[in-house]
Amino acid sequence: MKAYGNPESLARAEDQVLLEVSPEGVARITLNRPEKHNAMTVPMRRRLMALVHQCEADDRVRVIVFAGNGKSFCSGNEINEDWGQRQPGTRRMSLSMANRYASDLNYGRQAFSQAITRCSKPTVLRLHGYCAAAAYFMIGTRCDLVVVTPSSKIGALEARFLGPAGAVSATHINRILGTKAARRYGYSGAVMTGEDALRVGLAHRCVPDEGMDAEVSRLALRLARRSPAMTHYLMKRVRAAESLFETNVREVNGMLFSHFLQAAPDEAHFWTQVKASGVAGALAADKERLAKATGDAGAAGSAPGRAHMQGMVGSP
Amino acid sequence: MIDVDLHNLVAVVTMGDGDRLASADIGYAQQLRDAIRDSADLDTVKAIVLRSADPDFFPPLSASQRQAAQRVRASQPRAWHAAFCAPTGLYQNLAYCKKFTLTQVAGPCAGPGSMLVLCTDHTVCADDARFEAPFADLPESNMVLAMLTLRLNRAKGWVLGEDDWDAAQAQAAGLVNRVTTRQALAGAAIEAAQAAARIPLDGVAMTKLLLEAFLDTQGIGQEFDMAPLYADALRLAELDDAQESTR
Amino acid sequence: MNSPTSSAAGTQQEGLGSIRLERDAQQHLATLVVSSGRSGNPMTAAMVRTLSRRLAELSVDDDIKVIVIRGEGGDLTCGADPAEAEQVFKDAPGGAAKRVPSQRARLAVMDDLWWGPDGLYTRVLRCPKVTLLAAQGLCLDVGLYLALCCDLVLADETAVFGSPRWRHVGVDGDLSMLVAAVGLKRAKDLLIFSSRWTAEQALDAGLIDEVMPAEALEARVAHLAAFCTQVMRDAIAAEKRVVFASLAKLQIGTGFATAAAVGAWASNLHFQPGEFNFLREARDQGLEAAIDAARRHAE
Repeated sequence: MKAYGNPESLARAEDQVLLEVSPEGVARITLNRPEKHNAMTVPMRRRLMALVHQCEADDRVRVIVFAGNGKSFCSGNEINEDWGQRQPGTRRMSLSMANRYASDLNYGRQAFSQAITRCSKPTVLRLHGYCAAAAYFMIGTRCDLVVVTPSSKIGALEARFLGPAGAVSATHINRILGTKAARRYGYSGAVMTGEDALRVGLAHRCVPDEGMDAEVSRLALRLARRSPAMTHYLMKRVRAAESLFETNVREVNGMLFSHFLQAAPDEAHFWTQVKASGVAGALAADKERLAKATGDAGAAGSAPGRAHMQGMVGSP
Repeated sequence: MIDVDLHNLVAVVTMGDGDRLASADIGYAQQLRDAIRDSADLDTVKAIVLRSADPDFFPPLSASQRQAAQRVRASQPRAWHAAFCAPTGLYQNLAYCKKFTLTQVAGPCAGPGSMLVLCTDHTVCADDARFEAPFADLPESNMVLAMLTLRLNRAKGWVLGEDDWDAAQAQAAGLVNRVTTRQALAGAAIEAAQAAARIPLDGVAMTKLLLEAFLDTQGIGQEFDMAPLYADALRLAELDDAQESTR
Repeated sequence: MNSPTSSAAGTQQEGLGSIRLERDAQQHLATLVVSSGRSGNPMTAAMVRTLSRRLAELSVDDDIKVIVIRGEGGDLTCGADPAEAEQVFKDAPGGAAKRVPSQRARLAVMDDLWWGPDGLYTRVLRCPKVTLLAAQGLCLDVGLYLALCCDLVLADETAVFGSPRWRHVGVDGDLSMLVAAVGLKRAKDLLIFSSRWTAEQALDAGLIDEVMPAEALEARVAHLAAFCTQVMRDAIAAEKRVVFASLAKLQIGTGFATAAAVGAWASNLHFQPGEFNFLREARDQGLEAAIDAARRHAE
């Protein structure tokens, strides 16, 4: 299969996704691009997928832990990446290339998220800091057991300026969060904190920041120490049930649209703004627009009542 | 010994020696199935409460019970299938019962007990109840039913996490509807059963018709149908484990 | 929510009740107000049809991105008006051929009012705009399904959710939405074992998004609506269409079709001797009186 990427992202991928396997059989796949909140390039995703397959084939490995170096687990895909998708002189992405992009992420059974959701071994996620956008769709909502902290910030946080793009529609997200929570977070783009994630059923455990490593280790070791035959049997059952429940099967979703969205005359277009004033500038403009819109609505009611989510007010 | 008491549109089915289910006792499963089905057939019964004759609902399985169950599945696969997995079996008669079903749980609730809980419409438990996931021991356990009841990740957490759920966790996850004290438990179960029994008889039929149709749109029937394959896979896993331990 | 720059609002008067539209092109927000002028805010068939029509019109209104639905007078709605149920069947095709309305008439009503392509629940569920329910007081039957089919639900502390029909007659309607929201056993709690959920119970179960004091509701609805109007039209429309595809995975379509069939069948329901005929009591005495009478009968 063709390896997409630019010379730099291709060369660095091996250092940016690390693998180690402990003597007890705990494999740890670590994203290592902390200067960019572990934003994943195309080669990084490809490498992560390959490492998952490698761990599945390795009899030493009993359980796979996903983690990230630095302040956050992962902020999503690298949005500034030029990975050879544009023909010289063309301004827009072609449909076939957009399909390739979406296919790589979540379309088709050989794609990135399918590697995790169909993994024959149990998967544990060490989710600290941000787990946003593609990291939320492809990893955060695909791992079997998710460990968070109160300061975790989870969700399709780009939804407000790029559209929900699957945050509301994805079947696996609906079956994890329930339909109401999927809509609540997906249409508002609000941040899901670690406590929200526990309450809503996404997270298995929520522990203080300083207790994160101990809890992940404890969970992973228990899984690793169980008889491999029984673990294998239970995982087969889990994956079969997910197949019947349609949470790990492929589906068309909003990712395919995200490159073709057109801003109406009275709307701001995020990518246009980024070109003009960079990502930081675009985010600042969005914040200002939001403040104006909610101010116009005369809403003194910016403090929510009792709710499942604390991150509603303001941008993520 | 299974006791059935009919009173005020509610049948209370009390399992004596309920832990015989832990050994995959085919005769016992048939008796329990019959008690449920026969009660459901009566126009004078609208709700069925399932409870244990013992203070604790279902004690943890012993090694000999596990081994006995393995022997039953290996030596009498067709009879085991008919008694436990098939539409004619215990769990499907419970999950697709044409009257409302309730479980009343105190203390430990090991795998087979948790499967009874999953298959009933409503569960009331005592604050000391502890629920073990049924999937390691029962190939006829229904993981799709667990996912539909608990949502996906909570179900996976129960399956893989190895921790029993206490009453509060079980309620938060939606496995149990109400938590009360041991003293108040029986009364609470009857109260819930009687609330359900106020629905007119035709209405009970209509409700259950809708629910059963719905269950099969979600993959629950299909998962039950896979049980014989799961039993084969479990036997292989158990053989692997036995070989490992003799090495 | 009524800004000076709003374009013409419209009130469709339907006999005793109305569906009022407040449209604000500037804010990209439309509000539909259910107002029957009667205690509990029951909805007549005419009101239901008007609400469906308004939703259809707003669905192709490019200025509107978010639709708020609310009731007037402290309640969202206690459900369909039981007094006219029999007449609605009789008015349907084949409904008056014999003394008792035919199956085809009942099925036509189920489709036309609720579950079919132009039915209210389908119009809400398949609305290509973001729908936001402001829930107050009684949210029963129709009110419960509005809560299930709308994208977002903000409630005040007075809101209660449930269905007297389920309690006193038996469960009809779609189950897939409720189970997909709260899980199977919790759903059965509302379907069979509890008469209704308070706003707090509904929040805990995952049926609704927020609960707040009554005086905070209007501002909070406005705030959340404004939040959602920041999303590009293309993005809302794109996600909505894909949501419709994924609803099929949850078997919502099957649920709706089954609901129409069983709903028609349910209207043939026979009460046993000694059982309380809730439908007749509700038709003759109104819903509240029927609920009281049912309680007394049980005691």
